[in-house]
Amino acid sequence: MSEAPIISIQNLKKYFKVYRKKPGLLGSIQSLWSREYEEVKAVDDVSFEIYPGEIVGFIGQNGAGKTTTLKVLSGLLYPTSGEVSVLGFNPWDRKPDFQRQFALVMGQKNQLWWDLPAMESFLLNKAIYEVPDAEFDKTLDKLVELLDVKDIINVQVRKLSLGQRMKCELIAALLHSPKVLFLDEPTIGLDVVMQKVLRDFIKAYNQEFKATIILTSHYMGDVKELCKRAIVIDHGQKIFDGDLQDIIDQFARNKILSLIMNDKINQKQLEKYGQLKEFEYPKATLLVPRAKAAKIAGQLLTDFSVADVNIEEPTIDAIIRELFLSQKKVH
Amino acid sequence: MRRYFALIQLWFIKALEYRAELVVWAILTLLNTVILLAIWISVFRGQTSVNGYQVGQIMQYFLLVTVINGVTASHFEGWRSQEVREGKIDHYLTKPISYPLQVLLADIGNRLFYLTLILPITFLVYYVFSLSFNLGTVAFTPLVIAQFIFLLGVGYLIEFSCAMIAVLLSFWFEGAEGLEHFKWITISLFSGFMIPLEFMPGWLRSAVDILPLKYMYAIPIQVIQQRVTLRITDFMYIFFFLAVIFFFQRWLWQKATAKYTSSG
Repeated sequence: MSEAPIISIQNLKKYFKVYRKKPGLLGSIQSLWSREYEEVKAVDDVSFEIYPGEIVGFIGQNGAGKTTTLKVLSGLLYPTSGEVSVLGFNPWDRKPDFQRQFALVMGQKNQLWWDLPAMESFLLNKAIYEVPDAEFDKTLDKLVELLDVKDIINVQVRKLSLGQRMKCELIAALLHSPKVLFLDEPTIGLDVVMQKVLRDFIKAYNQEFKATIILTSHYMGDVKELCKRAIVIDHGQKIFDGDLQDIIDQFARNKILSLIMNDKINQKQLEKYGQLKEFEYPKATLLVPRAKAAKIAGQLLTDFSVADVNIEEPTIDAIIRELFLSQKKVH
Repeated sequence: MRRYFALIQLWFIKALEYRAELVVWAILTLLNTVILLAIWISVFRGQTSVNGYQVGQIMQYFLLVTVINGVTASHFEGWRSQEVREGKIDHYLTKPISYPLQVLLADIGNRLFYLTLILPITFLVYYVFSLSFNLGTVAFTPLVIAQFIFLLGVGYLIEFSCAMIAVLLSFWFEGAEGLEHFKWITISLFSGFMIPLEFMPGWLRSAVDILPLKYMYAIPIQVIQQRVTLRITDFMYIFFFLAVIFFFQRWLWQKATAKYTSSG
């Protein structure tokens, strides 16, 4: 890419000292004078660069270091070591010029005022970010229309459903038209319909405002639908950075062969072609090595009377799961 | 400036949302003030003057305590510390206004709300008691008013700073509830909130004279009652003390931001 990166992380490390309490009353008494601390490497030597307008999926299991990285990028946490630049700023300097250009949305933490309608929080953000009246009206109208929340912005936040709240959280975060958006599990706890609405919105926002977005999510659907590029992190370390398709090429060892048989056959007859995952006449599903998938399909068509054959890639969820399982063995 | 006003205003709006709480606070203020005055009337029964105070003056003293308390008493350290502990201040930290300033503006919003609640109640109590007692008149000269308002500001800054220091310490400690009680008891005992300085035993009075807390309640009331007027040494002491706690807060805040773990 010829453009300069908008986000750059070099050898980022963030370690926490965690107190391990011994269980029970005795443990509590002992902790009065002696406490055991353990160092947790939440982020351990991670480097990457993100360019303007990209949507990057940040994938990892619980505790992998995704949220910690986002918190460092947004200036909430000081890194233990490493260099970080976002929009040309050191995030933890917390310069107002930097803070006016990004937004952080956390699925598990609210910025909306619980006992007031979302509109009050919008007006507060308008004042805090010094958004001119005309620009505020225009942006708010557009966001309200895109997310279809006209009827709820004057209702107390605590009376809203999780999905409605999340929509309002997004509006509150975007009113100042940030150039960089950190989305930490924005679809957590939402039903599939609402997940789709938010994904469509994020995609539309990225296209319209050319915003750079980092998205962390447990739902691979979010990442698949929104991100061309993914960064996979495990135990605080980056294990993959590239196109989602490359994850499939690199880590998917098998393909899925789905068969519909004409004649009744023995289960054992199929097992010699690959790993039999399902067998319920007339349907059978085999896992076969990627490189040999076409050849094995041809053999099956020759050896049996097959009504239909289908070769598929495994789901991205399954590949990632496999990737993490292989990493677990390493650790 | 508009963004600061917006924050103050939103906290005021938020306070107005809790109608039941509003009624409870109004009743509490009324009850507290009336019972306090009744106790002092009982103390003065059969005596025209105690420690240089007549009954009307002591009633005036505690009515002023109620007003000053409404303006200055900040009590946010408990829930703010909990927010720090639970990582709930993330959104404050990403906004282009510093966290301590957001806390200050929020508290000013709250103080303004309670002041609008307390003032009419205090005037009502003053009026009712003035029907039976000579509460005296106060000569509101420009000098007295200026000194009183200045001391209200000083009192507020001392209360706020102590509360803010407790919140900032909670970046290291697990809670600030103990510090909140410590602050409350110290101010109650050494500021003239509980009793006028003239009623204190000699050793306590000596301690109060050294400490700056007397500028929160005792001195502003004495100014209004024209028992004292501020001297240049008072101003010097006040500015020195405020500068010390201001820089201490700044230093703590710089250390605290590096310490923050953003739990959750």
